[in-house]
Amino acid sequence: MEYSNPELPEGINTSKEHPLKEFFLLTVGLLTVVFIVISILILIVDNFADKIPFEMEKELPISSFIDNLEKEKLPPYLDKVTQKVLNTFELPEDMKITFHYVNDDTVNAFATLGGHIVLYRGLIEKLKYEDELAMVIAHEIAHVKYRHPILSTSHGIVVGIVLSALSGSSGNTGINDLMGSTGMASLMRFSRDFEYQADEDAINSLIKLYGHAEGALGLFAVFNSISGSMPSFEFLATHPLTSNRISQTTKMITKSTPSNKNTKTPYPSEFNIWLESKKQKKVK
Amino acid sequence: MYDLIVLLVLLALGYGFGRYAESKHYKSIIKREKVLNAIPAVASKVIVPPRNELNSQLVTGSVVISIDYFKRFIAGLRNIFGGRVTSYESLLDRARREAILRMKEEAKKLNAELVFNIKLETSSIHKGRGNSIGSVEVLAYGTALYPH
Amino acid sequence: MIVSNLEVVPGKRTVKHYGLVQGSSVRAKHVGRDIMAGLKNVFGGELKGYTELLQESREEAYNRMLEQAKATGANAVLNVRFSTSSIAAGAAELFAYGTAVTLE
Repeated sequence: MEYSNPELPEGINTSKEHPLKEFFLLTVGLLTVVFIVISILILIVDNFADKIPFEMEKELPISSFIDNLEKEKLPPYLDKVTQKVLNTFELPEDMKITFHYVNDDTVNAFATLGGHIVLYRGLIEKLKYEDELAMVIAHEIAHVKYRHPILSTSHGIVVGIVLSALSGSSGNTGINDLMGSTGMASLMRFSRDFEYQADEDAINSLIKLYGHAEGALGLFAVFNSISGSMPSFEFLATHPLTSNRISQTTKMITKSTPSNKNTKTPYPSEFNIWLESKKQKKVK
Repeated sequence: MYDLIVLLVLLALGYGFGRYAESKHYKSIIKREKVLNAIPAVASKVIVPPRNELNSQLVTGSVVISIDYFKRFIAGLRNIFGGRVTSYESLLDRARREAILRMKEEAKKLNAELVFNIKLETSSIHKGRGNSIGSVEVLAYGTALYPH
Repeated sequence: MIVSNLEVVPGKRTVKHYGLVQGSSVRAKHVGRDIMAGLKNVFGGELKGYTELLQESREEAYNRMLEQAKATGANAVLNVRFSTSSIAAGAAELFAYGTAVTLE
């Protein structure tokens, strides 16, 4: 009986494929698939999400969030401007907009579910002209008009479901993070499209009110001066780069308005005094 | 942004050191196999012809090899797409051959002629899902026949 | 090639032993099978997807073992054993090994 252990050839139980090639193929393939699937799902969801009646938006938990903000009664000037801007829009019957003022340093303004628009003192006092304020208000009203809040919420839900199914399967945190970032990139593309859409409507509103859209350019100039270190790449940002918004605006303006000397309407002095007093009160 | 950089660094480290360790290990395995193939190891139990003049002794060899970050990343991708996890195949091949070699080395110390009834056990040692430290243990054991 | 998990094949004589031949295959499930398995965890029943997966994997391991046996010049593999182990979350190794021999 002969017993032997002959030399066996390599490569039967292993693969000769280069691991880096497999790595690139799989990773690029996965991120492409995730991006495309999420984008397609978002487009599908958009068809259904705006069929949700506007009234139902108020039922969503947003109302408790709004109630918990430290809101104050709108000063008369702010009330006047918001009504002025609102009148330039043709909103459906059931779409009621509620404006809220918060006496806080936060430089922000936002529109959310249920037609609530919140304006912070921080942003208002950074601007000096009624045109610029009107631009902010018109932009937020446009978001509500196009149902952007409910669309964004639905997008978030879709992305969440897809990512959790895939992440549960992979079990590797590195991959989950990568997929998360890709999902965000897809989501943010839609968010930026919404911003451009809102900008467009807001500019039309300004032109109706003042005959020109210098307020828009003024507002973006203020944004530029505020943010020192903005990210230079867009793809994970909710808002387009201010420079891009400026160029979009300029394109729109040169098409529609005459190029006479355009002057903006400044805040009335009483309002400036009132803003100062609110700032002092907060500091105390 | 920083998460991405950390991920890339870990992948590069895993790939670089992993590949280096693997190729070094394979060279060592092939070298030792050439020598230890002189002690045949078989899975059979029945010794034909019966070598009653030889003594028998259980010999074992085991090894635990860890999975590097790069291999684990590829396995995670495969978990989504399915298919052969080639990164683990080479790991297990190395571990098995190393375990058998260690078993034969133990047999060689006894001056054994043959090793019969080889059995292999593979188990994974990991803390759980997610950031588990994955490693694989392979145990090879058999009966060595050696002269007095 | 004769493949058996017996020690000896009835009616034939073992002439030469070539030692251990092994075949292994590591496969991962994919996200579709995973989701089905998740549902089955609620409703119960056979995980057909996983069964298929492991069957394919076992076949591949088996074929690799035969490939190694052919490389030695053997014409049979005896004392074949199978083993399944879970290597990491979602990946299982299917392993087949036996002794390659020449029968007469």
